[in-house]
Amino acid sequence: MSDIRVAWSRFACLIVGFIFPYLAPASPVGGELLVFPAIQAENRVNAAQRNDGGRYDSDIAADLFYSHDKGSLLSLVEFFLGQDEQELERFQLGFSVGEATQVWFGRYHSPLTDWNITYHHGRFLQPTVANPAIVDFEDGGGPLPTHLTGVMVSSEFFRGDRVYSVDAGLGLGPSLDQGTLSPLDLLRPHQGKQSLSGALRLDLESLTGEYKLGLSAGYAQIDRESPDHGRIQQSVVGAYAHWRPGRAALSSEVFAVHDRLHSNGRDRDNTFLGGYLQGIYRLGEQFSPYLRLEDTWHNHNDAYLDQLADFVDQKQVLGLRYDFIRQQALNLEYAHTHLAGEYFDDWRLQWSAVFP
Amino acid sequence: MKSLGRLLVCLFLMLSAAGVAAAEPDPATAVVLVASPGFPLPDTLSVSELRRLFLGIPVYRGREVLTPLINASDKDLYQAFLQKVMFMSEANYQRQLVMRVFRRGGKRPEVFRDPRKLAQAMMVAPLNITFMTREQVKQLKNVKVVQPLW
Repeated sequence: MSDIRVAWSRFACLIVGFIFPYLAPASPVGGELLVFPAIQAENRVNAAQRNDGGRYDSDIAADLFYSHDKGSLLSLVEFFLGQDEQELERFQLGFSVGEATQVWFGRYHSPLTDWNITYHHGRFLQPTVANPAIVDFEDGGGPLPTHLTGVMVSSEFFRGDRVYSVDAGLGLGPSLDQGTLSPLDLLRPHQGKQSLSGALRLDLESLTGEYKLGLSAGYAQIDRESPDHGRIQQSVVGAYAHWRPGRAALSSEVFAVHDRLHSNGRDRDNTFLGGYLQGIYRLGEQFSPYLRLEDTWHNHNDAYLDQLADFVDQKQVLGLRYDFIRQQALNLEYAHTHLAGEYFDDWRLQWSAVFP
Repeated sequence: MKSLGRLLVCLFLMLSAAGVAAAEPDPATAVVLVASPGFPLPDTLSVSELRRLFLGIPVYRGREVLTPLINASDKDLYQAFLQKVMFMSEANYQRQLVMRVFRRGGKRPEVFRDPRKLAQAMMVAPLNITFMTREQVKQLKNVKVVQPLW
């Protein structure tokens, strides 16, 4: 598809997303536009084997989010604009059923991981610069589907200050192309060969944000670029916990991933565990030092992980966030990373914000 | 033993005084939930419902959804509302609002820094609801006090 056609497709999606809610009978109209800009500088050292030791990199990105409700009709559009990547991140049209249930159609964030549905490209919202490897985006080397295209049902139930929520999604997940998972691109739907994927999530959280507990499960059929290379069946169960005692905040997410690789008439089964533990301490209203430990277990000779070129199996992250002005933050972060048999270090400096 | 008795008496008197102070707030600074005169709500809102409402989570009465308006015309009032009702700092509250919309769509509650614009907005729809001091209520016509907050 030519660049002009892609640009026109994006424009058409924005227009459709905007006018869809006006099709409903008259009722209160609401719309929200959010812009998440971020500028990041990164310096990688001690990566001799990967030939990118001493590499300096910078990135300017903006995530444009728009949601609009009218009566029971809902729409949500999100574009990610980066230096190397421009993507129609989310395009959802839906309707509400009853008081607290939403049914969405389109491309959405998979509810398999809490990090994914809470932060994703909203960089200002997330406490750290880098994502945990186990929940990283498909093109960042993440092993789990983070985007689905199909239908999603979300429902919430309230008991006092407790919120129980259920999110269930079913649709097309990623394919595996050239060592990277590749979700369906709505603007280039002919690229890749995506198959069925689904995720279910149950959460319990407090309205005041003091705690959150979640369980998730997912299934994905991941086709590789050619039928000769076979197919991967992936089953995932995960658990999430967040606790905010006083000025501290502790978060952890753990997944057990079973993958079955069908290739050349035989199956190879593997199960690995992956997760992270993150701690943040607020010093006053502005400074928040943080530490995150990430690890993967039973991943040696995993036939699926061996296909992923950028999967990070161990990482330690240490950083400081400085919320210097209303809804703007600076992060300085150090990460010690293990990737493809080699350790290296990254220094990252990021400015992020949300407007308005 | 005597000193323990005195201590208990003192403690009782202090708690009693605090209880009286809490039960009878200063009329000038007492804060109430208000709506337009056409507001159809027969019953009051619980604290949990108030939190949901001002976090942008739909709160229904019958088939009608309430619309929260944030009164930021008085900084002290706004801060007290965040502390006493939302149990959050302003930065955390703003963050929770953005996170909610980013995940589930919808819209953040509208913020009013000008009391005249807030008063006008209250008249637009009968389900609009906000909080203000009794002093502010006195200066406005055609608003209905739904319930005291503190």
